[in-house]
Amino acid sequence: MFIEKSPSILIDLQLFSKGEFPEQSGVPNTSHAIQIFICEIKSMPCIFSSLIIIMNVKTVLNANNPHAPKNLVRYSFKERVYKPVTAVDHLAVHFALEGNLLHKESDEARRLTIFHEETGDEDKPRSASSKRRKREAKITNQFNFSERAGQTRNNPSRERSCQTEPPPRITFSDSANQWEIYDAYLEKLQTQDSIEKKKKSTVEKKEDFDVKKKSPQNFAVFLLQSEDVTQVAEVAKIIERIVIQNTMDDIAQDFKYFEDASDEFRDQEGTLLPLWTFQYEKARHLSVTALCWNNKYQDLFAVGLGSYDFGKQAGGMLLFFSLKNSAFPEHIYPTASGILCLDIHPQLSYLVAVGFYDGCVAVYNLKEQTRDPVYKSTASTGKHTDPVWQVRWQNDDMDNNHMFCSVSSDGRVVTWTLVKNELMSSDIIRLSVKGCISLCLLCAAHGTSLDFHKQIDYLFLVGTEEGKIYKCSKTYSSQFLETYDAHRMPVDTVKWNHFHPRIFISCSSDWNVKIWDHTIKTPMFTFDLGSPVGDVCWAPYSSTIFAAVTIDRKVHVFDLSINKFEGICHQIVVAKKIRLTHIEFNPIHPIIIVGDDRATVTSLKLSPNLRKKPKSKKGQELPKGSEAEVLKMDRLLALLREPELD
Amino acid sequence: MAEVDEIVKRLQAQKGVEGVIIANSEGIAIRSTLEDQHTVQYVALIQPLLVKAKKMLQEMDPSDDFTYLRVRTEKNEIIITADKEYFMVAIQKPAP
Repeated sequence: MFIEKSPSILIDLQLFSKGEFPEQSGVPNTSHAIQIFICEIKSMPCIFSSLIIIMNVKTVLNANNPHAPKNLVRYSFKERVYKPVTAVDHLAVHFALEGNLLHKESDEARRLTIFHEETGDEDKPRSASSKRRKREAKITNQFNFSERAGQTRNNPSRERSCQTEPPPRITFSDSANQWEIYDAYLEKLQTQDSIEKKKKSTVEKKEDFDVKKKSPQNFAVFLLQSEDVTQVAEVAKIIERIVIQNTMDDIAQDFKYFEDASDEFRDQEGTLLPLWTFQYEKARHLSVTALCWNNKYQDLFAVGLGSYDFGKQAGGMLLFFSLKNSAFPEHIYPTASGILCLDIHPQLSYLVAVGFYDGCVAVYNLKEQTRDPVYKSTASTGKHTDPVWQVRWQNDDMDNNHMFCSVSSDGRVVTWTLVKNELMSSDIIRLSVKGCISLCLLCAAHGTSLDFHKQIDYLFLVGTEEGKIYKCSKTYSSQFLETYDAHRMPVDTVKWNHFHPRIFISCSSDWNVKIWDHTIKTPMFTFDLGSPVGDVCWAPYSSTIFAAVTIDRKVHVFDLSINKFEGICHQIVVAKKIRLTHIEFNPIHPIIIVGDDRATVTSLKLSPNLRKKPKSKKGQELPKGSEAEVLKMDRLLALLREPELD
Repeated sequence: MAEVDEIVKRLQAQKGVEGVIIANSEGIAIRSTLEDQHTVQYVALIQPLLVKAKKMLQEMDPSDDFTYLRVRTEKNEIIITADKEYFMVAIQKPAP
């Protein structure tokens, strides 16, 4: 029962003033006299207070929940409208308490009883019976009962742990403020500037080559400077050779495969095909004074550089070039004095003997890393007093020391022996004009060339400045075996024939090349080449072929078995104003190298006509190379000698 | 080390050579005359090729040794040489 404060009080008042008593719905009017009226006199204005005392205020008690909403509206999803809910629940719960009594027939009660029986709960009266049952089950044999128990061994537990080494730690601290940032930027700017400058200078050089323009950071970007890259040197060399082979691909192909087909139509003449040219920039001012092929590695040759201009001596250089890399020498040895001659040891191809303009001789070991010779002659060890014109290796002496000989303008032919760390010298012979020992230096002849016989060890030839050739023997130091009046000017070169034991060739600046039989005092053949002859050389594959170079830029090739009077090739091989100085045949390849006075070595390929071997008659077997060559020469000589006998 | 740098310089100066790279066996470029990006690309792609080539040679003939590998393409030629720790690459435009 609630007391409802009806807002109709105000209405009542108004109506009362009219003299009516409204009836409230559903609630009967009580008599006017005993009406309970409660009204808040305070809230009402004082004006009406007197009226209220008189009137009858109706209050109604009903069971409605005053807190329940009077008009509920719910959204109906079915009709998609808001609909008023008519029946509003007026139930208000003031207090609720869950009891813990269970009816013993209920499911939960039964479950609980079973649970308590099992656990043996003493509190529950029911558990007493369950206990009894258990005890009865346990008691077995009171007399004989013994309880046995066993226990398994437990594995002993061990604790294992592992700890790795902690990574090394460094605490690093730095400060970054405006200062540092500014400095860093400045540095970067500076490095960029320097790279720009480098790029400009290299770009100028590169204008000859057709290279695309690259960004400034490309040139030699060094990513890890600290790494030791020396091991790459070998590999780098291989790559360099490959790259050069690619660039000079056509030359390499020519070298290997080109055979001048027009030789068939040219009768007997041949030509020389230019192949690579070998130069070294730092040696431009020198001239080639010596050439020598390496026996073991037939693509390697040595070039001695010096100067024939006796007024201007400008130092010298020893260079080693390989045919596989024509752009850069394999080995470079700068020397203080100009080199005039060199020789590579026939067996130990890393030993090189060199003769200098100042009279010294030196031996270089290519295996050593240093740029200095391993042996060098000094004034005390008996060096020459004049330029050394020729050096030649000898066979090892009885103590297995290496030996070589040298000839010089001071008239001495000296043998040098490599004993441990020094060079020991011993004079073989002193040259003189009259053919006997001469103590007077004024009479001494000046040796300009030297060659040892290929088969007879002790026999050698010396050419002199006076134009004479002396045949000497190592065993006879006082006398010459023979003297030949060869030329009118200094004899530049004497060379024994590779095959025939009696033939040698000599050339001189008096324009002549002469071929001799050492048993006969007069030359077998004389050729006038029209220009001072710088050098002459026998071909290693034939006893009748030789080549000569003259100062008028020509190379002359002669084959005596084909033409006894004229050469089969005369060809200009260098540009104007360049003089040719030396010539050498390659031991196995059909090429020759020619040195000139601009420190350039030109390689030329011999055309087929220049390499002819003796023809064999049909049905006959071709005899062995060297014997055939000897026979060939003999036939030639026989032809010559017959008219002489007449 | 100076001679290697000289050789690199000379190679770069040769006609037609576009770039030279030296890298170690881990694939890090030590010297290069190309842009960083190109260098890294070349090295990363060439290294497995090298490994494969060496392996192949070893299987075919264990006594044989790898000397160099040339890859000729339409535009240029890539020459790769290797030794135990380093390998070197040169890219060259072949002579016309």
